[in-house]
Amino acid sequence: MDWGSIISQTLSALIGWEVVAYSLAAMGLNIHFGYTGLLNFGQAGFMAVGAYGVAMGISTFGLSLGMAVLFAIAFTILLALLLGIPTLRLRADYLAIVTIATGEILRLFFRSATLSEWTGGSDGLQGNPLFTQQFKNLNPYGGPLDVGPIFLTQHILWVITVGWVLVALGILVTWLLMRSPWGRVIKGIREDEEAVRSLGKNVFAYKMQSLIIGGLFGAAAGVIIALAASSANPDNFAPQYTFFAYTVLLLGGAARVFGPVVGAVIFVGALVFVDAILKGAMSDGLIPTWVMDGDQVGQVRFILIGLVLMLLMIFRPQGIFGDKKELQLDAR
Amino acid sequence: MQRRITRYLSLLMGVFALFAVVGASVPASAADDTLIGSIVDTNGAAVAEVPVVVTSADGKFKKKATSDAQGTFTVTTPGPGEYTAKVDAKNVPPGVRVPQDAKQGKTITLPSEDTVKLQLQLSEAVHGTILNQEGSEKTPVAGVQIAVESTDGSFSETATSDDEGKWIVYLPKPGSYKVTVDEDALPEGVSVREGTNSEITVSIGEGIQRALLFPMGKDDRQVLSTGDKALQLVVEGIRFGLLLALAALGLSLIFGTTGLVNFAHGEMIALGAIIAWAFNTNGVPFLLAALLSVLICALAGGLQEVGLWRPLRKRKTGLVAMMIVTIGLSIFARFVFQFFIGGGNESYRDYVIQDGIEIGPISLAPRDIWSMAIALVILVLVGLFVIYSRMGKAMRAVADNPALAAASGIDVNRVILFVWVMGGGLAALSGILLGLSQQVKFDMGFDLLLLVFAGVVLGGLGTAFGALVGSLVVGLFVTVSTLWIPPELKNVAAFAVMILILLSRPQGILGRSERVG
Repeated sequence: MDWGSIISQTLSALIGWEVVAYSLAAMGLNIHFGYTGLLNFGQAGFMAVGAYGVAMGISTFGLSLGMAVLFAIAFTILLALLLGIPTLRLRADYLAIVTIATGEILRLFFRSATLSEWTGGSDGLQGNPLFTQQFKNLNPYGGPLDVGPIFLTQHILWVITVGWVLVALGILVTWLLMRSPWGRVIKGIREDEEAVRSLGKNVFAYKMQSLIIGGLFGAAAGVIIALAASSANPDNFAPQYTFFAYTVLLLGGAARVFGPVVGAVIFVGALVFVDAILKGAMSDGLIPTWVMDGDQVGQVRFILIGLVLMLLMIFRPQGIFGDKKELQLDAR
Repeated sequence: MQRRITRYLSLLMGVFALFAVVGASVPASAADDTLIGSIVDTNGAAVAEVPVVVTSADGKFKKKATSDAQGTFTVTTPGPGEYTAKVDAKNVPPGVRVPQDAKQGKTITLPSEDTVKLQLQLSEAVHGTILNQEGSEKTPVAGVQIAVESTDGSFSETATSDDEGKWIVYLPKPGSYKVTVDEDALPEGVSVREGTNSEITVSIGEGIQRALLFPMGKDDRQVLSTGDKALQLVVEGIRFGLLLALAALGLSLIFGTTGLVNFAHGEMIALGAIIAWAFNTNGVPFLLAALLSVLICALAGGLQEVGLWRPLRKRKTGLVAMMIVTIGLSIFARFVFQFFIGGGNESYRDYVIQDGIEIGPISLAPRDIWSMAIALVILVLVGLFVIYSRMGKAMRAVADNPALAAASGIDVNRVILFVWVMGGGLAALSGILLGLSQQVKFDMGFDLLLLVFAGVVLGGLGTAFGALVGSLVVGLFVTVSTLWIPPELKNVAAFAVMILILLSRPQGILGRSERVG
């Protein structure tokens, strides 16, 4: 087995764009679920809106990169308002169903052949002109990064530079918000909505602000995915990606500022490592073909995700670094 | 395991098919550096115009060749050694499909007496000849447009008949397809004969190329009116709604008795279809396979309750936490299914190909009528059970107020166990019947989950009859709405209605308002 290549793949993945995307998506969920107690199952919808906002802004409507980013932000806020105004009064399980359905509606619209003129249909939007071109032109790096075991292409290097800056900003914003009076109210809503209301706070407005901020984090994750893959593809925003983001959040610990990043590093690192080990063992013939073949390796990682999510929730709902007292999960 | 057995069996059959054609197209001997191969389809007939790539083991030599009318291809190599011949899957002529082993290629060590034999699968297709009948004389009609559309809306293509009146459309996969003659674009003086349909819905099994007849005559053409089309869709909608209701009933009862929103319910649907498929393709008759599957899934539902949910309730795990556990379980189960059966569409061995029965303007395959009847009978029985039996009353009591029910002597855990067993069995039945009309796939349950939710929510979470009514409404709505909206957006409409109901009347159509917290 080529351990050098396995370690190289894993280390490159630890700082790669997937970690960035999962961190950002989970940071959004951290605001929604970890701090406010909103059970948002439609984070994939916010991610899709971010990705398509930028991709459609440039390719379909011919905006510049900066304008397209503003368009994506406006699009996200609009979604949060549309989603939030009617649903934030709902009970946790109803909110979950409504948000997952909204995410699916968005994905089906982005996928649909009827709108493919604007959205690219099920093939996704690679864009003509290429929507990543302006972003690529801004790339300050002259070549790929090849330091020791880590290898990153010029484009990905630029994407993750922007991505990690966003993650750092996100951490700072989350930390500042949560030690502010605003954050205390938000956490109060999570613990006892009625108590906060009785203190004269407008619970609905606070929830809405939380939904918008968390949604913007999700949209940022979508933008990173679209830039890294050079395409906005509807199937990158299937409901399961919301659940993967939840796994990330719960791994690191909900209601912890660094939880999502730690969770994303562990999540992606473990998946890439397991994948590489299995493929290595496969090519060495260590795993007989009647156990599994090359196609089945891809499924093992998802099986593991499902298992980890279940076990985490049963045995350690506060995650690896979380504080059990912070997390009042029963929202009924 | 199952998949592997099927794979070996099909390999064995392929070998037999090959034996049948050896000799017909194989030259006797070859020079040391010549690689000779042949390409045949599932029936053993030669396939021409198939591009093949031959590479040496060290990768230095690479050459393309194309099979001739006898299906043979010849490549002159630089010398003895190991070579691999594989089919260039991207450029194969229409009508055949490249299976995995032909894509990966076959290896031969030259010099060799053998030829490389690559076998292709036949694509599913519908074809026909359009003939215009005047008196007893039949003349071919050119330029007739025939539209072929899969019933799930994922595929549509139009063919035009040639000078001999012939047309053919290759299909992406087995399944149910709607074939329509465009009556408005018929040549002058030609019309669809009165009393025959210009629209046929057919089920195409794996590797089947089916001929369809569209008789033409000088008589008045018959037009399928919007009313007839709507009627057909209504019947199909009721069928879909009944199958949804089977799954929704379990989901709703589980929610009613335990408060748990079970995101893994879709996987219980898929499990039923997959177990039935596994039994059926390994030789168990379909009805027995279905029965076994329902029993196994009912058992699986019970085991889930005893092994997972009951201990969690005992630990006082919150409902939201348990909901996230069901999501983990759903992801876990879905990809375990994919691990074992692969990502493709599978169909049962029995009852795949059936001609539609015409009832007035409606055409239904007998298996659709049967599945509607079975679903209806089971739903009525379950309904009567919930209303009149002791257990049914206990179920409703627990749903209403678990603490009070326990205090009045009802064994709450036993009731909940019963609900899980019943839910597992009903979901399995729903999956089995759905697998008949569409295909068995690892994520068929998850695709359906939100529609089941929509049905349950529409009728009112936790009420058995609400789930039934809500599912019927959703099934009808999803199917009939394709009259006006593109088929790929039909679920959007159902989800939108579900959201609206949750917002305006969260207790559902039949729910009581005090149930809402």
